[in-house]
Amino acid sequence: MVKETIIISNPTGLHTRPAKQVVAEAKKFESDITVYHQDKEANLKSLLKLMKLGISQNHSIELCCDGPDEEEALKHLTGFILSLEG
Amino acid sequence: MGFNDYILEKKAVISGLEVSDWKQAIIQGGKVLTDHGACTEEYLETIVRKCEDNGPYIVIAPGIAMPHARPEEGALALGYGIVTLKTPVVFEDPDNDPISLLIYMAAPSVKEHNESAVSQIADLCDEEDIVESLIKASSDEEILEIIRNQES
Repeated sequence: MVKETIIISNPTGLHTRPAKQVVAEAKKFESDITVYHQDKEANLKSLLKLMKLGISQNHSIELCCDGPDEEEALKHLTGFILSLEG
Repeated sequence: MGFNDYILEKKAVISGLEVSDWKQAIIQGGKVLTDHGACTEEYLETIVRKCEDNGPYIVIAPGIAMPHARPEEGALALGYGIVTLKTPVVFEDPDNDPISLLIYMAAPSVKEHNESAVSQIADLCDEEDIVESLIKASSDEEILEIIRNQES
């Protein structure tokens, strides 16, 4: 299992459109991908679960990948989330 | 005010709306927001245009869309609404089509938009039995009753 903490930088946070893009990226990997925010957690492959966390700009989240492609998933998803612009 | 409280107080629901396509659904269903002064007409037109430009970003789960735009695109006050369609419409989102339930949202600030509104709506949409009963409801009052029961 690998994990990394990142700060959300895009203005609308992990709100529907960016969130939907992130979920689509997460689904490309076989590993289980979990996002932790404050005292809550969500499966990053589920849009509704992710939306329930209410992640906004400047929030800190921890991404946790567990599975055969965990290293690649973590690298790709942290890069993807940090490059969101919307 | 939370999602459920708002819906119950303003009776911001339309059941069995008859429309012929997704654009009409967004615009006509949007009455739940404009009737309560939550957004401008342009807000609804912006949602349609953004879906045309970027794909159906408002479709969030099988059968469910959450029409909303950015606060600065015409949101006037915090507002929500529940609209069900008599005949489901296709949004060209193969994983989630056809769509029968529209949960509207307008929030004048990004903070309200994200932290309270989105997560409250996601909570509701994540309850499959509630979603199913909303879609099946045959009157506005029946929708309000489902929300009221969820509250208690």
